[in-house]
Amino acid sequence: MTQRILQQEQESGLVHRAKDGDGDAFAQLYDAYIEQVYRFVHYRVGERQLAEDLSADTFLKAWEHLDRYEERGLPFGAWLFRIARNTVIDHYRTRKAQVQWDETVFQIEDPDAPDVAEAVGTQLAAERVIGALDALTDDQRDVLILKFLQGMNTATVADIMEKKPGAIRALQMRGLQALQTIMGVTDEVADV
Amino acid sequence: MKSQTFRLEIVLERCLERMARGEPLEVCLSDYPEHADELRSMLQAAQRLQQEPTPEISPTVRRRARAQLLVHMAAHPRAAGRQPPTPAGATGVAAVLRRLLLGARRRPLWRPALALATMVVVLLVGLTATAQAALPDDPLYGWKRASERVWERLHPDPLTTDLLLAARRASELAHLSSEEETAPETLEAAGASYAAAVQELEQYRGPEAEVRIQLALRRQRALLRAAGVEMPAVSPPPAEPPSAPALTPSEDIAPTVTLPLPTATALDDTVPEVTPAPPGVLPLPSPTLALPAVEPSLLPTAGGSGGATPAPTGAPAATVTPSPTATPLLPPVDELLTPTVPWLP
Repeated sequence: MTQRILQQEQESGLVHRAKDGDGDAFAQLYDAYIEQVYRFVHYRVGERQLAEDLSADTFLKAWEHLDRYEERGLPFGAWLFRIARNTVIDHYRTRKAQVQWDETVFQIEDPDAPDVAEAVGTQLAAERVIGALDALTDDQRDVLILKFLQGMNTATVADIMEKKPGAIRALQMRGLQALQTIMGVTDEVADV
Repeated sequence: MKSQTFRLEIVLERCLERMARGEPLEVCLSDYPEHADELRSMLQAAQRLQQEPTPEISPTVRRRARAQLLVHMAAHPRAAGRQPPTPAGATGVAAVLRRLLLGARRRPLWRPALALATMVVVLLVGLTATAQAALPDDPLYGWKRASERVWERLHPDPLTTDLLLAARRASELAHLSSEEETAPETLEAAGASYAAAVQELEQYRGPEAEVRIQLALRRQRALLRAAGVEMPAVSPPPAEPPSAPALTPSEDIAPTVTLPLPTATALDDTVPEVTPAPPGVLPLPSPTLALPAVEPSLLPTAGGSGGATPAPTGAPAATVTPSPTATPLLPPVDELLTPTVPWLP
């Protein structure tokens, strides 16, 4: 599924309309960001079902708290990722889902699901990366996911994590050092 | 050690940026040989992360989740223009400005603005009306004078305005002088204001203007005298040279008509005598305006549109026929004596 890319002015207009209560405008923002949010959450939680729940929860929270968002140097996407990150943190903190999502949405068989082999391969690869990322601190993991799996730059990551770029660079370096060590060990285990 | 770590962080960041632009890893490492070993492992780890397959949400789940979101938004609508909650402690000018700006952006503010403007107008009108009764030692007196300056600029008849203002100054002076607690400097300032108002009247010329001025000044003098304000004597008007050669009576000139104009002599009978001011009284100006001596032959005549202009040669310029319905140039004396300042005591 191709992801909708919004120009900054277009996004700003949608945000304004959504803040005034326009659900269709917010739905367009959902279309533009759901893939990225889902990917981030999936790498953080490692479960497809839970990632879908928490991604949906992210957009519900964004809708509820949209009046708190102000376009003062913080892109809407960065604000959305902040919510996603906090949603994941809250999930692990409470260990229970915060959203009473309609279960039927996800229990119906998905005709678009990838075939089993492809799904298993992707899942294993993701689990391997996620397994390695799990060994990092939360902040290191978030920096590596946002930078190398989401393709964001340091400034945006700093915005999302509410830290200075220098702190992000430091977390990035330590995270990569640790990851290389972990993945080197797992590679050796896999070879054996 | 710390600076070396910091430098490594910077170099790593630069290499990652260069590789994101498509530059090979080895090229970047060659630029930083002192960090090559450490950089290599970190950059390889980053490359492995970037090469991982990315999980994607299935289109069906996404569509259903979107539909569920729409249902949720319909069930929990956001109020248009809802104000963001003020953060704790966000008080003061910044918070007020923020609320005002946000309010201006989301909610039309013309209603409260119109109400505020109406209140301001009502307040100004009320203040101005109240200020008209102010005396020089009152707080609103400055406002009164300011409103008079606006009035002067806007009124189409400047003589009427200046006459009324002079009457006001005289009234103020009379009020102040009748009050025992009035400070001498206040009284002196009021006298100076009246003098200035009278001086303003000197700019007007013409028979009608001078009659009106003369009458007004006499009324004011009477008022001031009644209030115990002594004024200097009215100086006689300077003798003006004749503006036209005197006419030599000629048998050919038709007899002229004397209109029933008020003369200074006749008015003086109704006005108390002006006595010279003793030393120490207020230095009121001596009005120098007076009715000029009017040659009977120069007065307008009945039905005449200027037929009475004397010719230098003494030849008859026109024949003026007396008429019992002659219209005088000036209004009747009674009308002129009618007070035009209703608030004067």
